[in-house]
Amino acid sequence: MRTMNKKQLLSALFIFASIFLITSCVKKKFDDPPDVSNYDPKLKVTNTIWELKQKFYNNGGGLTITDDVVIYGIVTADDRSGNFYKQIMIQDSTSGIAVLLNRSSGLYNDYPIGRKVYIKCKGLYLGAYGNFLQLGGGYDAIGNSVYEIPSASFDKYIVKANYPNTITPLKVKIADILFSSGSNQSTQHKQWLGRLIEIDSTEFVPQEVGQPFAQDPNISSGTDRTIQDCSGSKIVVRNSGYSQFRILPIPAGGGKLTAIYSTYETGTKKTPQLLLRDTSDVPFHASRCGGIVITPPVDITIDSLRKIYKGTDSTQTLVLANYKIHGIVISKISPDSNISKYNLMLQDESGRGIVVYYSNGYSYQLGDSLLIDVSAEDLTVYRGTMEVTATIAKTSVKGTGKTVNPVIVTLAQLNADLNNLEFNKRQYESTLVKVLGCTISGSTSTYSGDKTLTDATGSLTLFTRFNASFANSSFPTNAIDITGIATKFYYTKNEITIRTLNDIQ
Amino acid sequence: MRGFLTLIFLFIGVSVFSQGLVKGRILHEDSKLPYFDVSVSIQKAKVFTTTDANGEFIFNNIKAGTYDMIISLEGVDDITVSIEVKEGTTILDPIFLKEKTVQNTNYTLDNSASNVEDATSEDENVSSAGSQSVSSVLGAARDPYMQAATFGWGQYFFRMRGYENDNNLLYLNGVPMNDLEEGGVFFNSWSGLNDVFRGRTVSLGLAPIENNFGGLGLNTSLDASASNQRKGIRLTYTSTNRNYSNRIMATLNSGLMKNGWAYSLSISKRWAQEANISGTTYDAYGYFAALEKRFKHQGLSVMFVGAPISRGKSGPATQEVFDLLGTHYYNPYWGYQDGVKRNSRVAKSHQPMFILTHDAQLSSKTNLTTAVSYQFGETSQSRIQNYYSQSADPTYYRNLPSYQTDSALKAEVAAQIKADPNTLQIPWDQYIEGNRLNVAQGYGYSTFFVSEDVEYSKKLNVAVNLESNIGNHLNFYTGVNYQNQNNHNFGRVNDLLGGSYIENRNMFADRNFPGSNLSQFNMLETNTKKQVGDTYQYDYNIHFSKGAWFAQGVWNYNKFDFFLAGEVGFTGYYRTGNYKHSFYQQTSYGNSATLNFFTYRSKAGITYKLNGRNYFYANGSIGNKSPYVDNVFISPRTRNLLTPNPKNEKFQSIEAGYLLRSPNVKGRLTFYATDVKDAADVRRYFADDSTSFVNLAMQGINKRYTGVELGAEVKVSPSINVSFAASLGQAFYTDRPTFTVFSDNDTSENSERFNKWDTAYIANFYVPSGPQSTFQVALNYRNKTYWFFNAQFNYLTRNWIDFAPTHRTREGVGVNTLNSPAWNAIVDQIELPSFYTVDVMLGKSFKVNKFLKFAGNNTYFNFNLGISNLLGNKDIRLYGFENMRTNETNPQWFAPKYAYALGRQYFLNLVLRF
Repeated sequence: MRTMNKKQLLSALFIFASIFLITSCVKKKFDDPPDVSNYDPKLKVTNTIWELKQKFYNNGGGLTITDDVVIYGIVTADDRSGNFYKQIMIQDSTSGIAVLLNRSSGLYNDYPIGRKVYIKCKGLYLGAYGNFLQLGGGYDAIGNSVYEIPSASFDKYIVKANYPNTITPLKVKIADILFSSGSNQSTQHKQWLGRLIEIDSTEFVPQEVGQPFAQDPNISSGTDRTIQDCSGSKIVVRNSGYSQFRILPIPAGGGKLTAIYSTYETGTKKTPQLLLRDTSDVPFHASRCGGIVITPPVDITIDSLRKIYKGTDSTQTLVLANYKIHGIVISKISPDSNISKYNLMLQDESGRGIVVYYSNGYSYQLGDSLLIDVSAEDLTVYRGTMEVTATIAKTSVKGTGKTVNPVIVTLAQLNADLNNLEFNKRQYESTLVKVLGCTISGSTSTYSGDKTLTDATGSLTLFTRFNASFANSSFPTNAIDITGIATKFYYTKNEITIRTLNDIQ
Repeated sequence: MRGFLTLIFLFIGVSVFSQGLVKGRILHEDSKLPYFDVSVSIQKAKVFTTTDANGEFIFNNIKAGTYDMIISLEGVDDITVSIEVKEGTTILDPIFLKEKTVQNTNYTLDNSASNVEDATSEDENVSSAGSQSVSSVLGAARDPYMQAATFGWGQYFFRMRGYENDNNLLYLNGVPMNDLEEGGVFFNSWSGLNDVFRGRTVSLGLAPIENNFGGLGLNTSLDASASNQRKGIRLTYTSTNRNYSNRIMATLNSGLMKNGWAYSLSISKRWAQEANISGTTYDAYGYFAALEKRFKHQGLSVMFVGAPISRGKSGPATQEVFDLLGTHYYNPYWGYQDGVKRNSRVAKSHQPMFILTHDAQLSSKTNLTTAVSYQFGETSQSRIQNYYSQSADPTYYRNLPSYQTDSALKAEVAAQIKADPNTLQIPWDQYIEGNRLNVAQGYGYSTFFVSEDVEYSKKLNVAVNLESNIGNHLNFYTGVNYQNQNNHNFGRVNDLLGGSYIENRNMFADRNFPGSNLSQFNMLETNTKKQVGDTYQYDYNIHFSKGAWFAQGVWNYNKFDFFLAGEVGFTGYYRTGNYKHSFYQQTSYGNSATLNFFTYRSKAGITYKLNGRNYFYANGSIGNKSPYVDNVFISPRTRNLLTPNPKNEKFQSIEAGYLLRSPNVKGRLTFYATDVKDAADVRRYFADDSTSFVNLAMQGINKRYTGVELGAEVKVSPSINVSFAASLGQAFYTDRPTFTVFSDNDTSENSERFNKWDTAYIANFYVPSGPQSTFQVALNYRNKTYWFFNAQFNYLTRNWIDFAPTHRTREGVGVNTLNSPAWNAIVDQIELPSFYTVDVMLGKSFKVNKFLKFAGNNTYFNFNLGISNLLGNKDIRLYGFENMRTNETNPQWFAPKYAYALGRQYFLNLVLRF
């Protein structure tokens, strides 16, 4: 084939072109499925939720449903905010019940608040947790708890129907829903439990205002807060430490509350409680009962806090008004432990620092960014250094791994500052400082105890606790740059303490 | 290996008292193009050689006289030519090999190409256990070892000498094709165009190659220039049940025309609505155009190639899932959307490339080649993501029976999945409905959506090579090359699945630091609501440059050949962050420092030629290699953070062997040993306990690769030969590297965590590098009526799965007693079962005008049929890897994942050529 003739060339071109005409072989776009959210399959309902719950009470405990029981309900709570975990609440016109579903998040995709669902109960377990009725996949006799329905079986038991449906909450008063234990729950209580309720003119108790809805989940998986009405009746609101709103401050005002009526009974604790779907259930923008006004804590700088302590008298104990402070932890506890496990040093953008005293200890780490509610806490001077008391419950971690740059000072500057008898005039007390070109000396060769730190301008004490991890390390004898926290000890002694050996360079 | 052989066999003489030099050339009869790597021998003079790339061969030291010269090509009857050798130089007339001879060779090539193509595309599902290298050996079908590695073992992820892909270098028209980011070759840039990418030279190991220093493993040179393509039209249809179902290819080559011009056009399409594994799709095109002009002493050629490819992938799963569903071909990546199967992991690529090449004969002994290439385009992989929802992975451990602690619920979940296997597929309809309900509730964000991980790459390569023949004994090569590459990596929204937008926010941060301002992926954008096509989650560029100069001398003497080669080079790269991540405000945005690495490599070798049939050789190499950017930047998606003290990886390698080339028995036996020191590795995986990508950085990795390779072929009769091949290797770690773990959701911007390096107790663990011992026996039959038949038996064994270094630590073994069953269950490396396969292939070529009178004289029809895994073994575990996550009380939650090799596969190829 020396040259290609026309016919061959044409046939080649034809074939080349035809390759790209065969495009119907692989499909490109996917069709949108039809919107079935307004479809109600209208299953035949055999029982109301109340009738179902009565099976539990009549049986005197949990049981597996063996009959073809079909109930329906409208979803009244889902897991969107995270305050409900692996469960939804449903109710019909008679009562409400929790349905346990084994999916760690995103139940609200399939069962959002307002969706109607049918539940084919045959094979499910009707049980209770703390005397609060639940529908689940089985019963754990060892853990005495109801298993969630496995995700693979959701569609086997639960039939999704139309969305949305409005739910009118049951109007009640706190006094109506209180009971002292499971044994004196009235039939009405049992019927109301699990339902969405509404209470007019409520407010959080004053001491909780401004605190977060729930503590950090590392401290407690849930936190009890207290709601009261104008007659003084109180009821617990239980908030999950995993809810997205847990860090938000508790509102100071009053208003109408919407919640799921629940109970939790274990040991000596036998109380009804309320569960919020989200903070929109407590829109407390109105005034409190009797027109009382509570001011939530004001965030102030450590400089402002220190200024509250006036004069040279070291024996004052000032009870703080509604304040909170924030800052970064510049001290380091375990494993380095060159500080008491009850104290930490906090420094903020004002450049001032302070000792924060936790009477039950704490676990915050160097570099943690903290927000601490110090309302009603004590501001004192302890052995010459200003400190504020605090509790873990009112402390939240806003971030980790933050760094504070030390201020470079000479020892003469530091001594002059720490010798100021007006505590609130001290700039460097409990802050991170750096001293250049100084030497360490002492009677022994290790860090433990008091050593003398000397630079060209003066000297002061380098103090290391005997149980610091590096206490028995030898200190360098050459000139060094040192980073540490400046403190006053026993009113007269000016000290620097280091956090780790990395502070010596 | 071929380059190596070529050099060994060049200029071989047995008599010291030289009297004559014989020069000859072997050409294709049809195209008049040089015929490369043809064996030429003169039995009486006991000399043997092979032709070089120009089709030329030389014998020196031949006494004057008349000889029978035998020309032999694989699987073809030897051709005997009578020659007359005079004193001085004898230049023989060109010898033309017949058309049909070429045809028969092509059968094998076609099959190999298709085999490899499939193995290759499957590989892309695996990050580390790839075997793309194997596709480079197409041209090496002549070496029984290479043949076995390609046809028998390649599709089971066999890796030559256990090396990672970056040790296998590939050059296309003289331009380096290994990617600067990962070191491997992206074969999809030109896949499907098998017709025009046939011409190739390969060499395994440390032997010298012509236009570059080469890597430790397989070195491949592809020549796709227009003048090198066989003239005519070629139409191919392929039917198969592998990754795709159908393939059509059409190629038009002018051959080198009298006016000095040559052109070549090729086009292909491969497709499958659903391939062998459920939910996998395939839609691929390829196009190629080349033009070349030959002048008297120089040539200029240009080439343009591209391949738009879209594939729906398949993925591994735990044995629990396979057992539950009763199939080894479960694919977790797809689900029904409105009744149609939709794959969530679609890999797309299209990176067109231009190559301009100029070659000049500066003198009769010196050639200069210059090549410039530019490649640009996008690769992307889609995946389904969740925002404030449980993982969208259908095999998420909480969805499986093993997660249930109650035996009744375990049974119920198992029964439910068995009754409706779609429980373990992606519920697209449900996700879309969920998002729509969200919108109806006033939450516009999608809780499930499809995103793509995109890389837009721009690569510029320049290579200049000089080759010179100095005196009678020395061939000198030198060259410089420079590569510049810019990779733009970003996430992109692909499908909102019924939602109104997605939040460009970090779900983890929202959860763990509620109310904080830490959740934005990009603080520079005030609008965090993203639409289809917008960038999402991460956005950064990596800029690379790399240059090298190499020089090499190859000396050929009567009894010995020597070579010496060296290379010096540099690699530099830096990152540019286009997002300011709220966790890493200081280190995420803008340019990182530039990292520069200077490297050297050297190698040398000697071959002792006992006689024309027996050769002994030994080669050694020492040098270093710069670390890859992904092993230096701990988390390039989020920040500039570097591993401490990144440094070059060092290697030393030796090999020694024996080569036998007798008329009826050919064989090669090679021993090799390679030590790699100071390697670094960063592995990235999704840890759903922290809902975050996690980066495990390992340093100080030392490895040894050692073993023996054997290949032998015995000619039983003129039409039958039997070959045997074996690879017995050990690739293992020789020390205890240190590692540390960084989360992409780690809020500490500083490097305090570097203090917490942990030791991985993995000395003497196997490198997960595919089957480390492999065997093949093959029977080849080929007769004069152009039938051929090939059957092979393969046995593959000693394959270890990829393991989690985090389990082999003090913390990993916990409080278990040394060597207790619990301890061993944590520590021991899992070996995959051994297996054997039988593959067959047959084919025939017809001259069409024997049957149809109107067909031209040069019209041929070929068919061939290959069946691999003839026995249909569906229990072959292809690869496996451990889950990085563990649960001490419920280890079954995080069991290793596996993928199985396909059962019986066929490949039918029909070719019409005119």
